[in-house]
Amino acid sequence: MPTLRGLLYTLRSLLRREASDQDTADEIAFHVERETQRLVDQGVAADDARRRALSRFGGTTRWREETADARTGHVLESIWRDAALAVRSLIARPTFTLPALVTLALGIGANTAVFSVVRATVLDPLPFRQPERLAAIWNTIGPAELVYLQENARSLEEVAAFSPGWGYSMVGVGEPMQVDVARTSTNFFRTLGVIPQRGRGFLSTESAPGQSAVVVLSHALWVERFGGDSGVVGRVVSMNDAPHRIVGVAPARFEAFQPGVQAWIPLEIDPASPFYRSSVAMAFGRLRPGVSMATAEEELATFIPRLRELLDAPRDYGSGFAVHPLRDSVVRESRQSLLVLFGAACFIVLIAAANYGNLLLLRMASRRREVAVRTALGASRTRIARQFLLESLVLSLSGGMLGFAVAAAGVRALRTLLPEDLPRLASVSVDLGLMAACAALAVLIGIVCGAAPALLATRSAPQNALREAGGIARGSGGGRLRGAMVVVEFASALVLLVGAGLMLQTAWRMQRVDPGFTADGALTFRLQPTTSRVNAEERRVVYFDQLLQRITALPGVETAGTSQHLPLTGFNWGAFIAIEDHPTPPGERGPRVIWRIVNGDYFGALRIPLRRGRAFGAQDNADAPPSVIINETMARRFWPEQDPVGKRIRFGAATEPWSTIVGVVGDVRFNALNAPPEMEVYRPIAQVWQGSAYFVVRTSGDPLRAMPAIRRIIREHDGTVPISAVRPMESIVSQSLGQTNMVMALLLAFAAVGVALGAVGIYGVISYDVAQRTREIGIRTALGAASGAIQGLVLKRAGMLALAGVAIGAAAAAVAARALESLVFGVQVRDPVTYVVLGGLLMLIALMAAFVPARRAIRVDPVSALRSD
Amino acid sequence: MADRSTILPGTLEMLILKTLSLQPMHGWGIMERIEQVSQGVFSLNQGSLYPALERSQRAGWVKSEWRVTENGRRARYYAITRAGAARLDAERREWERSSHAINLILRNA
Repeated sequence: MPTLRGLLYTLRSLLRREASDQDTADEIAFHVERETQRLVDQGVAADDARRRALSRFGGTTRWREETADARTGHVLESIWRDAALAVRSLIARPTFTLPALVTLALGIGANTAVFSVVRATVLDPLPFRQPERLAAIWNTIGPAELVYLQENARSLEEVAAFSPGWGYSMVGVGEPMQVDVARTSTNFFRTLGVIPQRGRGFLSTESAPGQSAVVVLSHALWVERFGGDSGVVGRVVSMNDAPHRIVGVAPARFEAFQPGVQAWIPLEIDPASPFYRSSVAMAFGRLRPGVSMATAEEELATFIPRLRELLDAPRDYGSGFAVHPLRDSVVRESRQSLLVLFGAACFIVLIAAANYGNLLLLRMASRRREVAVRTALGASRTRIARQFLLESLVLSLSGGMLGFAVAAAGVRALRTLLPEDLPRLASVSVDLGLMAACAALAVLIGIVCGAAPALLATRSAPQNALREAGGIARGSGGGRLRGAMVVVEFASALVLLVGAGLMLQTAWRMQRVDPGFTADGALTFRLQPTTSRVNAEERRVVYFDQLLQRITALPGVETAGTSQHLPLTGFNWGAFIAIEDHPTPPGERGPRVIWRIVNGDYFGALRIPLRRGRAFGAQDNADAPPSVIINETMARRFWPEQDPVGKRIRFGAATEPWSTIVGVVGDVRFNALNAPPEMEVYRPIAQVWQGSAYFVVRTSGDPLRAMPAIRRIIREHDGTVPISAVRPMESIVSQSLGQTNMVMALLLAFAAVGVALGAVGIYGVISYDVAQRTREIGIRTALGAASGAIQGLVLKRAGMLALAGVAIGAAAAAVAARALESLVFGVQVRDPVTYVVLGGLLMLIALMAAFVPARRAIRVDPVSALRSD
Repeated sequence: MADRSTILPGTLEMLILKTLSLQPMHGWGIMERIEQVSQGVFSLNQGSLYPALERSQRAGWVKSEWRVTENGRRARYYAITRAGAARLDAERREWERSSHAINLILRNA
């Protein structure tokens, strides 16, 4: 019995092993000597006496061994020996070992792969100084608000702003290229606590007008374009045709909130600039020590009246600025998908573990006799149970190692499958942490699944086992446990199936939803004409018009137009407008619309139908009164019975001119395919400043084939203008489906694996049952039971197990499916048809899996069954 | 030689404790003593004496130290501990109770 004292004793003697052995030898010698002496005293001759004394002692070696055994308690040596035995017996039984290894590798691998992605992108704290003190301020702001907040917010020690998605053309370093720039407040790096690896961040003076021509490069850009030049700080490059001085290089892999950002430039804060009051930036701040997010939110709410006054414009702040932990806004979009996938992977582990447990139970059952014999020969129950547990651990750890290989492959696959712009995707890697996770999971499964079989196998008295017909009687603990495991497997498989089914329907519907435009046959690319030749506004309009004319004249091109943003790319500009015949009460915000600037035959190029009025034309130039085109949603909202053409709306402050509606076009699902269209307003390029434009060219053949000719035209006009983001509109559409498709594909894969494992599981259990009931079947057959009845018996058991699994699984799926709510489209998460159909499918699979053992049951020969041992 | 019965397992520790309760002894001395006192009925399997001593040590009933005998030889002496004395007491009472019960049955049933 292991007591504390006993353990200490064992430990001590283990440490002083050599001394103890010598002591033992001395003790023996002493004893033998005294015995010899006694015999001599009794009159025996000396040699004889010694010999007899030795023989009475019974062989010193054995005694020494026994004492040594009693001393060390045998613990370590027996564990080592058991482990070696386990490995040998596992190798000798490949029909057991291989399925177990495969099951474990799949389950452990899938789970740890998904978990490591989730951990790096969702769970890990942001890589900034004290990231939990960073808060996102939920409203886009402009320079005006930034200044006000910086000066007045007591609860935040720093307020910073960040505006992504600026394309700057960079000339003079290799080929002209388009650089993805984020414009930030000058305290951006300081607020995050990020120290550039070279040079510095921004100085606070660098947001003043005329002082902001500085740039911090990203590590990737520095390496690719500047060759990692250590003297890069201080160099001047031409960006957007203005010299910018490089003042620093950001640390490697620093991308803050914009994956793929290549450089940072300060936001100019100029009260005279038209952008001063616009909302182009996202705000965040660092809380003062001891201040909570709630307090900050309250304080910011008190600023609203003053801000409204200051900016002289109706703004929607709602009830205030919402202050949230910064991390939530970084991973917001993909968080749900990733968590769903992780949940699915957990179910896979459950299935794999259940399968593994079943395999172990089957194996224990077949070793009953062996256990009985060993017990009868004197092995202790603990010893045997320990050996079985050890075997389970050895197997599960081997499975874990294989699982690591699977996980490594899985992580690499996930990195290619996941959308590129997933924040922090770059920090997902195959590393020691992954290996540790695999090992931990393997140990957990090994112990949890190995404990019950080990205990069960050693339970009943040896005599029963030896007398039995070679196995566990049905209805004993083993049989029930196996049945329970199969039920768990089926329930989990159904959950996965339902998830996959819902996503499949979602993906299908999203493919078929009408986006409001025709993507096939449309080519898109982006131009950023910022050289002085075309920088002045009129010149830019002329530039675009000329390009459009020449492009449209190309053979194979039907029509072309430009737009400031493309559908389904996630970028748009919002604004609050005033509507002339629907005035908003004072102090309230006006309606919010998204708007963009278009040129040429944009609507024709994307085949967006014109419903009323006209498209823009030459008459909508800079001298004409401002005109706009709205979409159907907006027309229905404000002018349901009337013709909107001729009505007026206004952007910006009350001093701005009214714009007249000249046409109504069809709705476009601009933000996402599964989001309803919003109210949209289009404005002509001649009347509103636009820096860059996306060209949309409708071709009659393969869109990309027209590109070389288009490039030539552009180069002829101005060779310094970079062309970027060349892609067919179709690929933009399929990319927006990307996340849905990825979740669907992975859930399908998981479901397939889960169902396969479940089928194998039920096949195994039913087969075993049939083997167990051979005598019973033989008797029934001998008594005249029809083969159909026998088959029915077997199938009934399978059916009951599957039904229980499906029932529990349906309940579990109904609960788990809530996690899918934000991802599905066009189908309810509790859609009964899905559940019933998939549940039925699973039952069918179960019955099919049980079919083979059922046939085998029919062929049982009653005579040999009754005689069988 | 008289007919020697083998000693019942489990009682060996009890006998050791009893022997040691009088005075500390070395292994051989314990063996000789038990054979003496039992008047030759119990013959100790010497191979099981020392493991039993080891077990008793592990359980904390007995402690040992190396000493020099009167002949100048080095030997390991065992002595009973307080826990061992308590154990001996408990065992003795148990033994007396069960042997009394057996006697009753043999006489009256």
